[in-house]
Amino acid sequence: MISLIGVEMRRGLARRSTRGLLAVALLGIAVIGVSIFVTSRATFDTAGGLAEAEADHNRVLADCVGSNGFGGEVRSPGPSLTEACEQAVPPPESFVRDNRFHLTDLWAVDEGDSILHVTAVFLVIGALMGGATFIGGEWRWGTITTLLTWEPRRVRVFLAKAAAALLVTFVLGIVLQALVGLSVLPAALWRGTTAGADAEWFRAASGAVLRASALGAGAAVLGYAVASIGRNTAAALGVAFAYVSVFEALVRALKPGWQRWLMGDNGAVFLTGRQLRTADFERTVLEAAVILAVYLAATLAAGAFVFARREVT
Amino acid sequence: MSSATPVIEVEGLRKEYRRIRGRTTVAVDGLDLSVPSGGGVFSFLGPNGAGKTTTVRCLLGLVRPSAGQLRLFGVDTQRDLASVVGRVGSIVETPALFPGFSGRRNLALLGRVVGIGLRRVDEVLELVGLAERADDKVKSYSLGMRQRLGMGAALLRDPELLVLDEPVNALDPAGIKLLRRLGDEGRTVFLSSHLLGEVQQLCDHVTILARGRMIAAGPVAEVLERGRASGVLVKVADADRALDVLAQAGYTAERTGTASQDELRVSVAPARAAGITEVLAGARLFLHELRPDEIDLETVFLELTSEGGA
Repeated sequence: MISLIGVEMRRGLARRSTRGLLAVALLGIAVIGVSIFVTSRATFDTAGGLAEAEADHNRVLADCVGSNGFGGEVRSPGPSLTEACEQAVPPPESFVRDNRFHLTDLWAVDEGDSILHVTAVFLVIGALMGGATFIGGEWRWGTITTLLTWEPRRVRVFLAKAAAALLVTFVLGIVLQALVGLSVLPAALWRGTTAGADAEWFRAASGAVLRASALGAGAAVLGYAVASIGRNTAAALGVAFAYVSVFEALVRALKPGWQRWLMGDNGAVFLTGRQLRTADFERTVLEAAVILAVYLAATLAAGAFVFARREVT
Repeated sequence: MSSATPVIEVEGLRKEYRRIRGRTTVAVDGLDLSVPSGGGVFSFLGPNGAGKTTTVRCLLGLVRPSAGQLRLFGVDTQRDLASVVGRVGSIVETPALFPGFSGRRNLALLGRVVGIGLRRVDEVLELVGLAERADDKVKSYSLGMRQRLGMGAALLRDPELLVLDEPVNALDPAGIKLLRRLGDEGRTVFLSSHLLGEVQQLCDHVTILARGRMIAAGPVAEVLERGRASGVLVKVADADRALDVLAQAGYTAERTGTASQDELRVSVAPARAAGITEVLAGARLFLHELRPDEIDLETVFLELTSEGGA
């Protein structure tokens, strides 16, 4: 079994589709690194930046006074309107436009979007495609026939391929996200700041990378299992698209109570480690992981059943 | 397994494919087949749609039979194919290998499944004449080279039994020599083919299939005898008189109907051709030519399959 998994991993890595997806990912990472470096400015505390902030502060203050405290929002029972506005409007430093790149933007621990949120979505999509084409290509080229004449224990073959897809995607997921981190490092060092990127942040970001890689690995296996059932890459991608864009959207609209069981929502909780702002249910990361694992196991079992019984004609 | 256990045994094989609206197509209908141990080349002939490929696929576990028993080396393939598959090398239709990988890489990946190293891969590439192109991508190979690579994949495990389904290019002169050698080495080569001339040269035994049923089987010479009666072809200057002389002597003779008006076919075993020369010479009719009228496998095949189809 181990040798079979090893062969499948080599086969998966040597495939043109895998290399194509990796090339696209590396290009995307390069674009992220370069664009962040180019758009970042190390001007936070320059005199020019402070002067602009002072001007912005004074404009807002004038608006407050001129609009009678923003139409009564700023009330002045004791002090004058001007004094009340001066208290209400934040100090000039707050108006400084911080165009520096913050390394902590790579992974926002508590709230807000971050770079790894976005790259994780692409990782999951790419992994789904990679997993689907891993078996879809075998059917397309007929190589599954050759393989099954060497190893006729089909469930064994199916599980070895699934394990190979899982392991390869998980490792590649970690490597690619590490490269995302490296790609933004020059911007953080020379056009920004590493402030806040302490040991605790690093642990949280590492955990996020591992969860995103696990999510990608799960997506690869899911794509693989669905493509095994449909015997076709395009069918698997079509099913995935229909599930995400139609089925989940309909459930959210018509049966909000079921949202807690959707793969998309549980995937988001698992990835971010936070509760969803758009949902009214609570999930821990572990609960979300268990629900995703159940979906994966069920799809994998269905794929294995069909693969074991399918006639190779 | 005792040495007498057949390499391949098929009993009552039936395979139905379900079509839309519950209709079924019977691809193989009660096929019995036995290939004895001891090596040799066995061919499996039949027109398109006769059920050859389906039978091969059933043997290799790619398709589940609707009914019947299949055994390889005495092992029921529906129960424990894995225990004997290492003794079998196969090509099913076009060899399916990754076009984007080199020939060597394709074989190396297959070999790794069962722990075969690169040394054996290189030996096989040499054997099938692909050593010089081993590192080129398979997509750059000609069809013949792909067939040879498929043959290499089938030989990689040094199998006792080779199952080759329509190995067109394995039947070029070099391929025939290789298969013959493998058969002579004590391996069993079981091949389905429509290249009857090559099969006749190559095979020891033949099984003919039509519409999913076996219609003839046995050593090639025996199957050939099931065609029309043996005879000899003679050419004489006066064919009309020769016909009379031969008829008076008790021979059955007729014009061959070919462009040559002076050619007759006499229904007699070639071993008894001397009697013809004696009779005709006695009537001062001297032969221009005398040769056995050999029936070939193609003729027998067409006769048998057209009967089966009638």
